Order: sequence, then C-alpha cells, then structure tokens
Amino acid sequence: MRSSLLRIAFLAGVAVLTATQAGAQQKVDVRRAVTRDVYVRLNGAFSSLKVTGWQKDSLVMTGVLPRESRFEPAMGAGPGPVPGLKFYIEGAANTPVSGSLELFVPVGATVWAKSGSATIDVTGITGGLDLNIVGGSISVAGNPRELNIESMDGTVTVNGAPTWMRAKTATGDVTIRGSCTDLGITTVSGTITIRDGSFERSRVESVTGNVTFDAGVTRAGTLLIDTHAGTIDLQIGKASLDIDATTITGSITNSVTTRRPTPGRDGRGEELALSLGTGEARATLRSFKGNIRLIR
Amino acid sequence: MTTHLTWETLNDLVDDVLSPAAKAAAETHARDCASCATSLAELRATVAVTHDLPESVTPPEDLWHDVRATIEAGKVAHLPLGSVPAHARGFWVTPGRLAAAAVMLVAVTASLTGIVMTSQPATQTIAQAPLAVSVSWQASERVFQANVLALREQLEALHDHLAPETLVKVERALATIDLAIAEGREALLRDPANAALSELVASNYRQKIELLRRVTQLASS
Repeated sequence: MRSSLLRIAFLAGVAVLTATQAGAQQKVDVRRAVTRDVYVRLNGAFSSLKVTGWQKDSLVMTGVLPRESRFEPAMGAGPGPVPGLKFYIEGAANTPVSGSLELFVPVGATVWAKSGSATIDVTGITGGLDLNIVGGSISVAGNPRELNIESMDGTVTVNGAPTWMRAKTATGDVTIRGSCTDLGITTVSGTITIRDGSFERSRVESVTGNVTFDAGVTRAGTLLIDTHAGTIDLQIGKASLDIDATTITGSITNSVTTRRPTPGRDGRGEELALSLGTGEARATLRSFKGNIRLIR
Repeated sequence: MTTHLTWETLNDLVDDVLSPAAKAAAETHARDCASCATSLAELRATVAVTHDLPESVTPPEDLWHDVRATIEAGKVAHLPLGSVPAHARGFWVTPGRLAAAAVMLVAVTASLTGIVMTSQPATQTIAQAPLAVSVSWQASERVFQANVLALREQLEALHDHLAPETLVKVERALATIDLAIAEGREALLRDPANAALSELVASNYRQKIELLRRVTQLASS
C-alpha cells in the first residue's frame, strides 16, 4: 500500500514537472510571404536550428524557446512578399541556452545564422549560407551558391557542391564530401578532410591540424595546402597533377612514383617535385614540421 | 527604457527593418541616451562609408615594383625583439574603428602576400646576413603586430561578453599559433630568402589576425 502511494506520488511529480517544463516554453510560429531570394538573418540564443529549402515563396519558422527568451522578429510592413527578415533571440540571463527552431525558406534564399553553442543542419539551399557558431556542429547538405562557415570548436560537415565556400575553425574538424569551384578552409588545430568530387581552386591552411585530400583537382585547377605542424595526406588516385611538395623540417613520403625527395635548402626538411599524367592541374603542399605523404 | 539599445537593435534601426512601434521606441531611447545616440551615429557613418567604398581594390602597379626594389636592394634589418607599447584599453571599441581594423587586415594580408610573391626563388642562395629579414618584411610585421594589438585591446574590452570556456579555447588556439609563428620566424631568420617558409609564416600571421577578428566580432554581437 505504502509503495503504491509512493509510486502515485512519483508519477504525479513527473506529471507536474512535465507540465511545468511545457509551461516554461514559448512556441514560435512565424509565417510570411517572401521573395524567392529572401535574405533571412537569425541571431541569438538557440541550441538547435534546422533549415530546409523548399519550392515555395514563403517562410515558415516553428519551434520552441524558453519562456524567458525574448524573440524579436523584424519582418517589415505590408502584406506583399518581403525581401528580407531578421530574427533576434535574447536568452535569459544565467540560464543555459536552449530552444529548437525549424526554418523553411525558398531554395534560393540566403540565410545568415549565428549562435553560441548550437547544432545547425541545413538542407536544400541553393542560395547563400553564412553560419557562425562557437561550439556544437554545422552540417550542410546541398549545393549552395555561397557557403561561409565560422566556428570555434564546432565541427563542420558539408555534403554537396557549393560553388564558393569558406570554412574557418579554431579546433573544430572540417569534413567535405563533394565538389567546389572555389574553396578556402582554415583551421588552427582541427582536422581537415576533403573527399570525393573535384575541386577547381582550393586553398587549405592549418597550424597543427592534419589535412587529408582525397578528391580530384579539375583540369587547370590549383590546390594549395599549407600547414605548420599537421600531416598532409594527398590521395592522388588517377589525377593528372604537377605536385610541388616542401617541408622545412618534416619528411616527405612518395608512394606514387619511384622518385625520392631531396634534402631541403639548408639540409633540413625535404622537397619533391612530380609531374603525373599530363599535369594539367597543380598542387602545392607546404609543411613546416609535419610530414607529407603522397598516396596512390 | 532603462537599458541601452542592443547592437542588434541598433543595426535593425539603421537598416530600417524594425516594426513601427519598435522603431519609435528605439528612436526615443536614442534621443535621450547619449551613449546609444553616439553608437547609432557611428554605425550610420560606418554604413555610409562602406557604401562609398569600391567593391574591389586593385593594388597600384608600382606597389609591387617598390617591394621588389626593396628586396633586391638587399637591405636587411634586425627583427624587433621588444613588444609594441600598450594603448589605453577600449580605444578601438567603436564600429568605425572596427571597420578600420578590417581595412588594415586587408592591407597586411596584401602586403605579406605581395612580399612572399616577390621573394627570391627557393633555388637562390641563402642571404648572407643571418638573423635578419628584409625591411619590407619587418614593416609588414610591424603592421601585423599593430593589428594584433588593436584586436587584442578590443577583445579585452569585450572580455565580459564571452563565456569563460570560450576565452580559454581562444587563448589556447592563440598560443598554438604564437608557437608556430615563433618557430617560423626563427627559421626565417636563418633563411630569409626561403619562399615556402615565408608563405608558411604569412599563413600563421593570417590565422592569428583572423581568429582575433572572429572572436572580437563574436563578443561584440
């Protein structure tokens, strides 16, 4: 009998807690006619954002935020489709950031989003994306025209073929699967992994992060990888490439041809120049003290 | 309204995207608050200036000729060992100066890249004067240090806007870059004509300024 009463009391407590939590949230439900290339700016305290491009001339944002959060939409006046919207979310003081939002926008939209520690997932946008977080993760699937990502220690994953892409992290790892015409990635100590597809102009820089490039370089394309202490792994496959590899104190391993690297300028480090195939593309690999490996 | 306008609201006001009620409230506050009025005026001035800027800037042809002439003249100078004197805290914390810092960043990057591009090829002999770098490189480093200092001061003034754990991560990353710069500079002093090495050191400089710029923007938003 006593245990039954305890059980009922416990369940009642859970019910009250759930109701309190539900009551402690505010619903977000924004619907607006927008232009096909609408610019959407979302800044503030949210922990999860899912952005989806759709074939409609409207924007829908739904989700929940803590009741203490201040949600400020700025959507302009008038009934017609608007070319730009801004949303600002101010979190409550001394409260962990939470709040989950889902945003549907026309595929050609440009979305700018910034938060502290957050998970941002984007799919199906062909316009522009400018995403900025401190921690958490950013994942983009699709072929945005422009993709700019900045993160401190959040991981970055891109699956698709952005035309222009820049990604900058401090410690966050960057993984790209796909293709890109103009690629620029910098990290301090995160790893950089580029696989599949083909890349036309790529510049990859790290301080201590390891770099793996296992993709193609388009005809007449350029690939530049600079690192201070990271390892550079270049998976060449059947690429037709002119390769120029230099280390200041690190070593170079060539598993592609029988050519051996030569000692560096003052007897330290190594240098290796290779021409594979008809050499229509060029790869320049430079490392201060990390090792460079050319792998078939 | 007792609290100051947020940076976001100031931007929205300048961009004219606030709702009529919010706009009226913000303008009323800005009329009564000298601090917000100043911020608003500076923001409007910054936006006006950026509208007048060209979309792209091509460095003058003779700039690289000058850089090359300086390098080829074989002039060398010792790297400064002392640190740049500190300025008053918070001196840079205005939107206008933030824009100026951005312009300076472009100038530094262009300058370093220009020097690297015009460096002597790797096959040439190592310069005769050890422990010295070119005057041009030294000048670029001075600009770099000034930018780092400015961004550092800005970051310090905005210190409270960042979470402690974020600051720890930033300082750790900056320490990693500083170590790389120190190693690179030491090697460059031994071999100042090494183009690959120059590029690597320039890359680390860019990383440091870029990281400071990002974290400062993060703190000010």
